[in-house]
Amino acid sequence: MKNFTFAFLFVFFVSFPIFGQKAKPPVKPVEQIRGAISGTVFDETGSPIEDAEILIYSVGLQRFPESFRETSDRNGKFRFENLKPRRYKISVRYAGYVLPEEFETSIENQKTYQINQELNLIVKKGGAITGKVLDENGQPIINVRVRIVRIRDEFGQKIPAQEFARYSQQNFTDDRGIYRIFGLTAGSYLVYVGDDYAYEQNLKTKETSPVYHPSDSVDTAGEVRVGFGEEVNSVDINFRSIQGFRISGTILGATPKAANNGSVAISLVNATNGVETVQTQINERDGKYAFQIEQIPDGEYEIRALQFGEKGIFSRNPIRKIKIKSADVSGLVLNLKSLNSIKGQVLIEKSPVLKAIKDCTETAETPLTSMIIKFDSAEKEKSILDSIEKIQQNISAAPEENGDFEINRLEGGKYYLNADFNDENLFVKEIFQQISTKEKRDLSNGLNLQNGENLENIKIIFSEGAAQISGKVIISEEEKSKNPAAKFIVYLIPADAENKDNILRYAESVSNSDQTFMFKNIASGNYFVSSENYSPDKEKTQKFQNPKFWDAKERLKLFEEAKNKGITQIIKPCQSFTIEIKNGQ
Amino acid sequence: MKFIRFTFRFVGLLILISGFLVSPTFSQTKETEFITNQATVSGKISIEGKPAANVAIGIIKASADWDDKPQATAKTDADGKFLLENLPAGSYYLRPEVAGFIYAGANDDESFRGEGKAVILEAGEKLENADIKLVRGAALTGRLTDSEGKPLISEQIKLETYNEKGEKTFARYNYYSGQGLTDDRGVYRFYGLKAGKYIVSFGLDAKKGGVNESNGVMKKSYHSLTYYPSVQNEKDAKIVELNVGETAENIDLRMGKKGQAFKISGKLLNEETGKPFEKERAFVSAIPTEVEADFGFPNDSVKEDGSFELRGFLPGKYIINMRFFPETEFFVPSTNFEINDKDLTNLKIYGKKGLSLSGFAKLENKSQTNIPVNLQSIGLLIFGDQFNLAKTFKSDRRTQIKSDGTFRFPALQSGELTLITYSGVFGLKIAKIEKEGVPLEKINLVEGQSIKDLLVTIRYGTNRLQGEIRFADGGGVPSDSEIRLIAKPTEQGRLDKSEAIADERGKFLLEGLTPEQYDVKVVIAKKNEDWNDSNGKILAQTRIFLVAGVDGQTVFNVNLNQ
Repeated sequence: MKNFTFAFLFVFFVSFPIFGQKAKPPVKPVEQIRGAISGTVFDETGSPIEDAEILIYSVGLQRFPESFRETSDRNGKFRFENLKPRRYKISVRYAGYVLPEEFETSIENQKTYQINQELNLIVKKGGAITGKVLDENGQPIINVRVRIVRIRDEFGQKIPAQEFARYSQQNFTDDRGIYRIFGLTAGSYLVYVGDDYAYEQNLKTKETSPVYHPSDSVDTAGEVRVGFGEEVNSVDINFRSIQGFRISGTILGATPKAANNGSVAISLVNATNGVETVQTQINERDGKYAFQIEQIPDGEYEIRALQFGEKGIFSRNPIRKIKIKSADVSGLVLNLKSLNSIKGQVLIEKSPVLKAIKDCTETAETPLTSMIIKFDSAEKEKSILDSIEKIQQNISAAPEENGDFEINRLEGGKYYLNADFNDENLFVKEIFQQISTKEKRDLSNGLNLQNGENLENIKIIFSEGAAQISGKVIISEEEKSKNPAAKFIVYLIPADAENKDNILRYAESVSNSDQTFMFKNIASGNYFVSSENYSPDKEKTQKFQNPKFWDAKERLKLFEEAKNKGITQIIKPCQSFTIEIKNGQ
Repeated sequence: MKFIRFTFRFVGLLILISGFLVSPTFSQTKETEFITNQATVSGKISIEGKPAANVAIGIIKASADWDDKPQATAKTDADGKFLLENLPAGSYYLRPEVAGFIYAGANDDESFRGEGKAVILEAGEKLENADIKLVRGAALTGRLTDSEGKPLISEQIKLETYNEKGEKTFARYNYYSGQGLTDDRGVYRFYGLKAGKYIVSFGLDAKKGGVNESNGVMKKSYHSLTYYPSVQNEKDAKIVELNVGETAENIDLRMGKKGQAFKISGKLLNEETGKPFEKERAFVSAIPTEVEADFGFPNDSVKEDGSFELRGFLPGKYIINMRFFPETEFFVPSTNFEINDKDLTNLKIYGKKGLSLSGFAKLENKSQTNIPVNLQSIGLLIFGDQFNLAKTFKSDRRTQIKSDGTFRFPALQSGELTLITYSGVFGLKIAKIEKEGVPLEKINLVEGQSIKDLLVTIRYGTNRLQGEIRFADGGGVPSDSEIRLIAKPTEQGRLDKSEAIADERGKFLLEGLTPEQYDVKVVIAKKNEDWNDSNGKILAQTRIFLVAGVDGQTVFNVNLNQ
């Protein structure tokens, strides 16, 4: 279906013929392709919405974000013209309403759109949370800022902390002490008062840390669940004094010559729920960078200091965890380290022999600009702050028309390629560093970045002729009666010994609750297929669990186990087929 | 207020684009204070004559930045009494946290000025009876719906009242806490209002023009101006009369049919090449020139191909403003346009290479005082007509002095400019601006001629001049007026001066002075009048010499009836 959409697109907007001609180099440069994204905004009753703002923005651009705004007309219609063939995410602003698809996944996994798509966007009336803020004597507190943070989605799944900023909303209490926050996406929220700069709030919260509904510090805050169109009332906050403590220390490795007059930005985040507790900046004084953060209540935190270097690249400290328990923490030393960048090029290798293969004929040329290149950190314990920063820094990249890409601000460590091809016909053939014209360093099993190192001339070779496999894990009647919606992790493991340590040939996929699964962008060859029960960590979302095969030991174990079971699946270029495997196979 | 609001919007936009924009902070800077001879302030807070218990009150330095913490804070006891201690001599504002309440009697304006009650404290002074009398503010609430009765959400209701002269004016309320903004039920609420007559309305007046942009969304339609109780003509509007502490409910507005708003679109081109700019990125906004627009303006970034589009315009006159970010050598002259009854498309707007203003800055009395700031932490700001987008909208340009003392403003047009510093450090001022040895009062950029050799002298002052104004007839200052003090160095070509307001008792404190000779003027002026030479009346004048490290003292005897 996807192939069809793509072919359709090219028939209209690219002048060169595509069917059966793929061995030929493209006649027209990709940069001249332009298209439109158009659609209609409706409410739940199917009435068109006028004057909604539709924002689209291209994914993975390092320099200028390409974002475009349109307003729907009286028929709910909108149209973006003259767009480059990139991947776009969408956002709708219409006071009091929400576009659910914007928030039902993490921003990273949010649906992307391509040019020449026609969209129907249905907005839902958001939920509302309302209540009173009262002081110790039960008197209303007037004009105090109430904030909310969404910590669970509509289905009760915990939201990764980096997503918090997307839902943070605020409002003030009125002369009766009443606040109302509305237009909320369905989910569970924390509601709190405090941590403000304003004079009034300085007076009120001087002796206290933020107070959460009903009358708590962040650790014991009560969750408030709200659905679309619902109003939850009596979400009161009984204000009281919550004791806080001081965190102080010094920063090493910062330079007064850095941008912004050499100031260092410090961020303190609660390690339990990711709520940013403090954000501040300090400057050099008497040759030192000393900091002091006040009013931090008991709990666990992560602290990060960072500085702009030349050319906008950060230096920062490895995240430090801090535990506050009824006492100040002093003498903390944060060591700033320079960050890394990766520069390289994506190339598509043409395979003339594919022309002869029947399955390989009906494919189109995919613009490189519509792909997304990412490097995932192999670090297992991903900290809350780390994940917040990943979103802020947008460390995925969309290649330029010539395939050049650049990713900045990576911390030292091991990284693995995570490519979104936007083309089912492609697979990753190789990734290496071109050291000289003759010499190249294979990086298929990950990139090791030393702090401050900038890796250049990274080549990612995509090859045509990828296969795709859909399938189903067959479970016994007994298993079915126990849990009909059981999920499995299905592994694709290279069967040829020469590839047993090649990560690019491994793949894993989590099945749906009907036990069906899918693999795309697979290189042809011999594979083993195996499965195991999927038991996700409830407190983590799936994307925070690294693939098992990244780890060399686990990879070998997977290979040996699959080999012993001895069922080999032969996958041919461009093949698309369905298999069934038994649980445990 | 308008100026600030717009600046914030614009900065917000820039932050979005640049990802992270950090401005220098100076909250680490602490002035050294002598801990001896601390003053105290005590008094009583009452609400409608009864003691107000548990009310927070702070005292903040008159020289403090908006986000500085108070010098001291306290809470009133059961009798409404408060005591603020450990206060060094100085000029302060006494500010209770009394949202929803307003000052009773003649001083009721003070609660809206934000500063609070001015207090000048001498070393070791025990100021008593600094009493504050409050009343509960009135409130006004209702619901805004469209022609079908559906709520209109996140729209700002307009609240007007009458001033002492009987003229219609914007009512004062705290805009930043979302007052008058409708919620998801269409409900709005104003509070902390003075007793008086109010006019409630929503929508745009098609006869006058304007833009429909709310929450950053440039709308394609608009609601026609409608007054409570849902009438189109102002003469049919029902005035809501509020007594002290009273709440008026059900002040509902139901809108009529919507009208069509228009758009403007076009291209920004480089004058030299006739083509779109290649690397430089600009932002575009448009502002009505003849109507005072209330909230927000259409704005967007110019696209890579130079195209731009802004929506939400009613027929009327506007000005387009474009600005590059990050800053470049180019400027875009503001362009006026008029919308009649259709979209305005295919506009061509040209960016041109601008003039520049550069030079060298030095800190003059560096050896005399312990200056809590480096030269490169000082910002320079210029303003002038060329940055004023419309009658009611003023903007500026800012740059940072480099560590070698040099600075540069690019992308300027010819015209008059005023240069000032901003540093977050009180007492740091531009003392002199010289060009080829000649002191300048204003900078005049002439077409085709950049200025390269401006010499800017910055001085840091810690001297103070304190004193008292004694009124010959024993009377005080009229409630609509205030006594202003202005101290200016007598040296030729000096631009720096120090200003202060005398408190109720006639005490004053001028701060941030340097040890030298000053002319000090005492002026009486209306509270809302600008601080310029043409406003107010000079009551007294004297010449004073300040010695390093020693606070000056002086008394002025004035007669208000002369």
